[in-house]
Amino acid sequence: MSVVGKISYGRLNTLNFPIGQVVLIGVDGQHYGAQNTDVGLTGWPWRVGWVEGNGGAPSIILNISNTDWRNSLAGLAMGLSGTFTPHTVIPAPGTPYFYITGTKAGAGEFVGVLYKINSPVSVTVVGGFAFGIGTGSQHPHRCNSANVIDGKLYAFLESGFGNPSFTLETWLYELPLDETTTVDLTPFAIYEHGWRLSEHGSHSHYSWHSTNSFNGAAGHSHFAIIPDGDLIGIVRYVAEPEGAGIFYLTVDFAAALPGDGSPRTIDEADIQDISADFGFPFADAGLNFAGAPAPDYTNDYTPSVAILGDGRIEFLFTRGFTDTNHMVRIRRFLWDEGVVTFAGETTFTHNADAFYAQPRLVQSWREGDEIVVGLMDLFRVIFGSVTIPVAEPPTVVYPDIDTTEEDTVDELPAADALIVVQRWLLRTGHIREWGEITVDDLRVTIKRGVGDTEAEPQLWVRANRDNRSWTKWARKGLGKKGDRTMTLTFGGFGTARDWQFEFATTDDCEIHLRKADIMRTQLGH
Amino acid sequence: MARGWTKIPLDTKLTNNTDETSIGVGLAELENGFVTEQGTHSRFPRLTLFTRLHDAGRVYLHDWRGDLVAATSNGRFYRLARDGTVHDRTKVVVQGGRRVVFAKTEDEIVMAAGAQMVRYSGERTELLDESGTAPNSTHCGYIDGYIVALEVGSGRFWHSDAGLARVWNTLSLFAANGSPDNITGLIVTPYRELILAGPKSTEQFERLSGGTLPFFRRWSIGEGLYHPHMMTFANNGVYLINHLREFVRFAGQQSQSVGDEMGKVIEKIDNWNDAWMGGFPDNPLHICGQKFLVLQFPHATNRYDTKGVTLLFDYRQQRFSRLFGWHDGLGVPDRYPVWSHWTIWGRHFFGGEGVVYEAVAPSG
Repeated sequence: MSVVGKISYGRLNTLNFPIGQVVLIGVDGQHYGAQNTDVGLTGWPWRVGWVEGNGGAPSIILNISNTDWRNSLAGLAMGLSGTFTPHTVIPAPGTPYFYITGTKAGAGEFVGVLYKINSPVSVTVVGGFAFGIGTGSQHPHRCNSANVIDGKLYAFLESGFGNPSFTLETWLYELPLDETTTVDLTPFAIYEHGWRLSEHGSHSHYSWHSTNSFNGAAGHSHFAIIPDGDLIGIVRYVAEPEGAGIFYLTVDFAAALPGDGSPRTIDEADIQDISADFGFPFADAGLNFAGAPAPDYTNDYTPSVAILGDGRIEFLFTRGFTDTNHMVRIRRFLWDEGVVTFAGETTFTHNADAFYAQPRLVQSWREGDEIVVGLMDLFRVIFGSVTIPVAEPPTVVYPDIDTTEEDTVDELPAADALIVVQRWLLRTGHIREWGEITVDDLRVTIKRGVGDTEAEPQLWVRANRDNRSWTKWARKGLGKKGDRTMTLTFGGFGTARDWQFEFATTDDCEIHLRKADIMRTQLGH
Repeated sequence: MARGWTKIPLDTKLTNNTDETSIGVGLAELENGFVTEQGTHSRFPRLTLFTRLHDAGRVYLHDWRGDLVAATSNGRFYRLARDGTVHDRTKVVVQGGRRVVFAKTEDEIVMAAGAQMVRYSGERTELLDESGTAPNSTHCGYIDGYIVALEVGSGRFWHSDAGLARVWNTLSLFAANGSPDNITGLIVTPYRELILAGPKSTEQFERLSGGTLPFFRRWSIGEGLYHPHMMTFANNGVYLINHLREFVRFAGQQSQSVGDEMGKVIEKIDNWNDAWMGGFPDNPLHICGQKFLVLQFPHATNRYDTKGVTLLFDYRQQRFSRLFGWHDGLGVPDRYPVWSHWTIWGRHFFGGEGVVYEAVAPSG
């Protein structure tokens, strides 16, 4: 099913646009998006849109004000006090759920209200969370990426921490994604539910530079969150003017909490550059597409990640173009056991109307064998999809080619599992020159004795009379080994003016058919 | 009433250029078989398992220094011994996702699949040109010490330095600009002709032994190449599907349609992705005493509403038949499960998906 449509939000607050993975699938199977909008122009800080609504009424199916959110938060009865301010919308891709999170000025709690999209006319509040922060204050600002793994929502937030002055940090949060309310207001509870990405020097694209990603354009901070066995894997694609790369790190759930009020961290030791695993100069992933290059490296291409279900991970790089802003070009990589195939380039053209300006951001995700692409300008997200061939999943684990000096042959499957049935079939045209005849017998001269000493393959014959329908198959044995009689007779086939004959076998045997004759009785002309 | 034995006409051509009800004297269908010069029918040899590879990608075959070699659509490269022993020789994956085209030099076998070309010289695969000067290419060939490769998405082709397949200079390129179209196919024929085909035209270049330029254009004809891998050399001519979707053979500038019996079938192909003609570039399938070309449209919808149209063209007798596999679930013919074929050791091998098959002709 192709996903085509647009959501006209009014005007978007691009700072809160999650990268790459934002589609929501409603309970009704329709596609939705939840966005932070420019409240000064739209009158609403958050809007939920319906892709299939295609920009018209009711494309925006829900407006949420600060008061709406506070009322919903109060309705969850989590034992909170004071006035909270909502900051961030966090979608749970591929599900009907999204959070709107917030904090309270000064100190206290980090909270979220969980919404569920049922249909274009029904969005309900189904749960929420409240975590104790400990000291200082947190200022969640922007959701950088989000994904659902094992029923939990993982999201990167770029946050300010501390009070009254604060530092900018990037955090990975694990948020509940069931329709219950989770409350843990003990100090530092947030450390039970998150990891802090430590900072390693400014302007290094090998680092997790939180302030840089906070201040930089969206294109500099592409995170993708994926399952990696018992761990969580995180892929970050960095595309800075001085270089590019793809980095991978893992988050170990089992890491012990320090117990001293300091957060668990993801630091440099957890990070590796995996660009080389792709067998392709990864720096070119977003740059070597045919077409005019974009003037900068910020918002022009965006990776997204899909798990194909067979252990492979697919990276899609989409890129909008300044010269032809109605087009997106897609490159696709598959990562499997450290081996990646570069799987070609697909050009996607959306069918919506023109953009107000060049697309500011491209997002893509996989849905079945389709890549769904959303292009955002200042006011809307326009969606379309393109089908790409799905490579067959590998069935054999690759050997380690760096350490295996002599590779071994895999154990062969049973021979019968790889037999390719190849039916031999011969069908004549419609023979009419005989006039009206009765076929009293059909005789085939063919090499026989093509079976073995036990089994006898069979030749099948049938006729189509006056193009009405085919007779049942008549079958005769082609002879066991040693059988030399070359003639087979199949009996009569009735009367007609228009004859078509078909000969076939599906057995594994030679076929050498010399001729076929009919015994005909002429009835008319 | 007259009574007697009458021969059913079976020695005619398979004719699929009309609706089946309009076929009077031709055959309406011939699957997995062929008509011999005696007018008798034989089954096309069945596929038997030769060996399994270490990944399930589509397999493209060639040979190198006495062994069968296989590159897969997953980028792996294998060397296969006569007994089916598989040696994985991948270090740098064969990149690009397209069909793998091979070219052999004195020292190596070069592979192009749409991105940077890769070489194998006995150890492990590696980039052909680590400087990155050589173009991203889908087709490469070898002629007189030069590796030639088309540049994807352009009307240019590049060449290495003579005898130095790994040395590429930024000025070592030519434009096949007889017509303003890109080069999409390239063949070096056994007669040392360089055939460069584009969507609208085909040009033939030859070596220029004197002077500073290694090649010159000799002639051009208006036969465009409809799909990049639908071209091969056999029978002292080039066979291709041209821009009008005709199956033609040309030698020099004389071109002739050879696929009229299948004209409607080729015209109605609804998906040309991964279509190929084998064995590229100049290894037709000579088996059972017959001389065949294989034309496959692997994603096209066939008359059974499954995927895959595969035509077997006997270029000596100018006859077609069809090849099919079998869909166990639907119980109808399905795509013939191969992506390439190659002949070595007097044996005929077919690349499947993670599998190499062998077609064994009956003895005698």
